[in-house]
Amino acid sequence: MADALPSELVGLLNAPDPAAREAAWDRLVDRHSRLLLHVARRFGRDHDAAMDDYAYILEQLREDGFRRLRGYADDGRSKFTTWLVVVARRLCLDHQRVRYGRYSNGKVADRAEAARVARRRLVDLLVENVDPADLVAPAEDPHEALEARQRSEAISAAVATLEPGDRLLVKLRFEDGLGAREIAQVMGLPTPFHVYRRLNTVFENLRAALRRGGVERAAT
Amino acid sequence: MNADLGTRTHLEATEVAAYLDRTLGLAERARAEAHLAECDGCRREVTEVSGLVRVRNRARGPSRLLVPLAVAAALVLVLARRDLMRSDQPLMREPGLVTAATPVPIAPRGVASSHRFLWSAVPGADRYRLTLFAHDGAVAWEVQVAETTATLPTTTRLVTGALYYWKVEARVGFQRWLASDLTEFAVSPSRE
Repeated sequence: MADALPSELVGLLNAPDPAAREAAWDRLVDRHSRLLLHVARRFGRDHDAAMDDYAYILEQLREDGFRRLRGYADDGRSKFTTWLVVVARRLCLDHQRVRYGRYSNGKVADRAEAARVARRRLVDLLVENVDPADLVAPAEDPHEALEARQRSEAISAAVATLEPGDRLLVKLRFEDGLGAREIAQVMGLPTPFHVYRRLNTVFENLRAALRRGGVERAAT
Repeated sequence: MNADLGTRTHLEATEVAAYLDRTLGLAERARAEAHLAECDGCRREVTEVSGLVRVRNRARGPSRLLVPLAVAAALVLVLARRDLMRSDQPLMREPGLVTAATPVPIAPRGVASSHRFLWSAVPGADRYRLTLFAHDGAVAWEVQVAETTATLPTTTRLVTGALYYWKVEARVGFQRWLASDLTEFAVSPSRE
């Protein structure tokens, strides 16, 4: 379970008067500035933009009688610092949106292409003798095109039957292109090895589902 | 849990943080993962926050390895910072992020016929520990060497076509090892 509320947060939300509240706010900022700056630098286009984002984060955390901080205190399931990183990131994105329009790191087209490549790789691992080019380029032979589309649909249907954690694992690995170490961190698996082992189990289940669904070339 | 997940709104900040801190109950976790599997935005958020928190934790360092001199140095820094904070100007410094190079597995990877293991050197490392895992997680072989290469002994037989995983750790200090990612390979029929 998450730790007890941090003392600087308790002091802030329970402050008896404005002076005590300001002193508590200074302590909270002092304690967590490095973390907030770290997040702001991640999204800032340059030093000045990062400082602007940092200032915006602090301003928004104060807003409406520290509404966001009270929201964390009311929930309390997570570590304060983890929650703070989530909120700081969201505020940075909001700030970027207000100033520059929708936040983009210029990788939208790359992500779409990466997703296509990732889906081809998933098919490669599940079905034998499939030319990945068949999945993205219109095939000359309508029969082959139909087969490729049916195969792709069968794989999507099989993925949809997986447990939520396994579906997420497949998405992280084959849509988002994350490495085993990152996936282990996100999903709380003990080591990258556990990621590989779980993936192997998922592949076995998917292949079995494909064979049941009549995909004759599903790898055994 | 956000009651509107069925209509594909996003996870609340508290839910994202609780998911990453592993404090959600089983049912809540399953619902969160079901949503994350479908929502690119939330999945991107979880991935980025996981990375931010990981870098922050790495920068803080393993407290169990603090020695008295390091503790004294940390106290000096805290006292100095308090003095600086008394000024009117807010203090905004670069965070002291620490990144250390880890060994990078070079071979074998993918489908391999050679049983010679090769990896990149790590500055300051005086020893490397290689661990080979079978597909079920059992340790198939472990060795420590001073160089950046090791050869599987003939007494350790690998199964053709089976998947194996290996990692290498570099010793860079007292009880301090830097580990590589796990690398996967399958054994091809011919052996060098």
